Amino acid sequence: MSMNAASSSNNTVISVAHLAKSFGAAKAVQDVSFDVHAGEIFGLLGPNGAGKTTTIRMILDIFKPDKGEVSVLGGPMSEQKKARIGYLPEERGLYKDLTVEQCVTYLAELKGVARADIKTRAARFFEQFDLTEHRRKKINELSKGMQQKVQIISTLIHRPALVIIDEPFSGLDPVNTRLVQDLLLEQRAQGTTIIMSTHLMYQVEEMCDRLVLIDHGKTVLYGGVDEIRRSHADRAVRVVVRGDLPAIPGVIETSRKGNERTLALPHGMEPQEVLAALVAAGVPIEQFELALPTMDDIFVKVVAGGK
Amino acid sequence: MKKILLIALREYARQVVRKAFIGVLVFPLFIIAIGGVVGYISASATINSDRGVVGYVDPGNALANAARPPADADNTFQKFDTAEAAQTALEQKQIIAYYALAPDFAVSRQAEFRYWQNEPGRSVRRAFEAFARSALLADLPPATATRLIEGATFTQTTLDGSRAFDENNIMSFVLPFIAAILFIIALFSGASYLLQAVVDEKENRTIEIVVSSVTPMQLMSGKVIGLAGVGLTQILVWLLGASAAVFLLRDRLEFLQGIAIDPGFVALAFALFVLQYLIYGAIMAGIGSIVVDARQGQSYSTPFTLGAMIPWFFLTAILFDPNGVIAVVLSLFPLTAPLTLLVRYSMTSIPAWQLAVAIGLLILTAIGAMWLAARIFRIGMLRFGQRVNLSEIAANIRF
Repeated sequence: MSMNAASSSNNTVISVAHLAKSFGAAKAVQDVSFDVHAGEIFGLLGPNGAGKTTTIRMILDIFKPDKGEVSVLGGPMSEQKKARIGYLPEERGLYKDLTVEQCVTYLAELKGVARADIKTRAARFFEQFDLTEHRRKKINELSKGMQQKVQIISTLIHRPALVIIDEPFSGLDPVNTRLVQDLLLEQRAQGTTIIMSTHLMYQVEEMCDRLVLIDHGKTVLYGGVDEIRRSHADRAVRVVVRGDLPAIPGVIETSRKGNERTLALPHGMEPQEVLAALVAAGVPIEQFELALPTMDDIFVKVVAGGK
Repeated sequence: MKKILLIALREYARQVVRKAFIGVLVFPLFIIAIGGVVGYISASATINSDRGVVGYVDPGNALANAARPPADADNTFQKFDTAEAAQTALEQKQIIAYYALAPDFAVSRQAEFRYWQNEPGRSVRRAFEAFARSALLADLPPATATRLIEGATFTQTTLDGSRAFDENNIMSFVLPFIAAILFIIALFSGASYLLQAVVDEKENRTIEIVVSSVTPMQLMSGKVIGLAGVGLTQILVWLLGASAAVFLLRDRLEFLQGIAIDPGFVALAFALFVLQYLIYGAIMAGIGSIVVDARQGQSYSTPFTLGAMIPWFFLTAILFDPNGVIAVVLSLFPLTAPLTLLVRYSMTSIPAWQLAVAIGLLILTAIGAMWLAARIFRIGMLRFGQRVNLSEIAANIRF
């Protein structure tokens, strides 16, 4: 795990090194460091009050850090760079007295998009999000879910190179959650870098390439999602076989859920040895995998362990 | 700059379509319109009742040589041989009034003015006085007689010639007062719109999205400029309404005829408005960013609003001694300067150094207030649901 942002490469879109920020006596962020690479979905995780939002605000130059360095798109934040960033904060809202069209247009104009482009891009988004017939309605006439969709459109309409999105799925039903998820994956496929803060750990597993976990204002976990899961894996394998499972020397069966058994390995024993023993015993193997912990397990373990 | 303009335009557009703004806009026009209609009707009624033949009984024949007014004048004069004949004509409404002159009128100047029910206006008496004087001046050349009858108009001018008070032009004295009142209304409505706009932006949680596109300073500047536009629109609409009323009524209402707008005064009022608006705009934006809701904002802004009203409380002192210590101090203190200067403008010639110092201090205060407000704005804008206390502001303002 590297905590040193100075080792950033050309591939780095955001580099955060030893950030700290206090409000009065409250230390919101104490020491946070991470790099975000181009074209990845990066998870910014942490329990409530960990300092995620303050970190994002320092990245966006809304707050000035007390200590530490932030580099965004190759240097300090500038007005031109703001036009290349899409931001959907956790505390988000829209101008309730404007129509959907007016609101999207105003926010896109602030990002420097020409009116003609806004019109065509907005029409496409409205179509995609099923908002075409609601585009002339005032924001306060829309349901919370629809407002959320308008917010996501406003975040993406200027085709940002970097998207920072805080809890993108809050307030969305499963259909729209899938819609937004697909949209973010589509953005990544087009080369957009995405920083996503979420409490939904299965979304992190499904979507994020890498992540940082912040707790009490400090980086406590940082790296690739698979790498982190592997490094937190207990020494165990999950096995599904047809018929009875033969006894494998040294291995203890710890749990059984339907046909799936979890086998704990003693220190020094490799999973390959279990596989070899099963093959040697001639048991038909239907499934054999490392028993990786879920991100949820890791999150709870790391955060609870820190207390 | 483009972003500031975009924000300004949006704030402007958002405010001017509000019912409350349209109400503020229309209310004084409505008052002017009502006043105009009432004035017009009463003026017409007065004029109509004052038009007509005025009789006179002149036993000493003192007015034999008087110059007859033209037939289309508002009042013509008819001689009656006896008071009884004139009284009968009055009762039959053939004449609107009559003068019964003493037999020795040429010497004693004694005459009785008699009318039926309603007393005719001053114009009738003035017309008859001119008619009577013309008899005494009959021997003089006509031009001299006319000058004597018309008399003189005195204009008081200050030593440096910068201010003149024409006794026929009462409006030159009244206008600065009206301007001061309009000024204060437009200033405070603009400032309260601004406070509301900042609180709204916080309340509906759009502020963080916007500051990811613009700097807090740009956001605040855009709002201040857009709402200054709203205040100026308000003044402009009122002035246009008042001008239209003056234009329509100037033939009917005598006091309107002497109206002359002093360009120096307009320029001063405009400069003062812009500067004080910037100061109040900054104060309101700062307050808006640290409070939780509009009600709390109002209670925070009241001391500042009262500050600008201080000249009203000292109005008597300023009017009695427009160059006294109180007037000068209030002219130099930035929060009270604009209103004091506007009121003093009608009373005196304000020394140039005082104007220069007052405006200089206003400019410095405006810059300082904007700078400070931008910093407070940065601290307070993202604090949702809790107010920011003063010690926190002091600790986070970086010089």
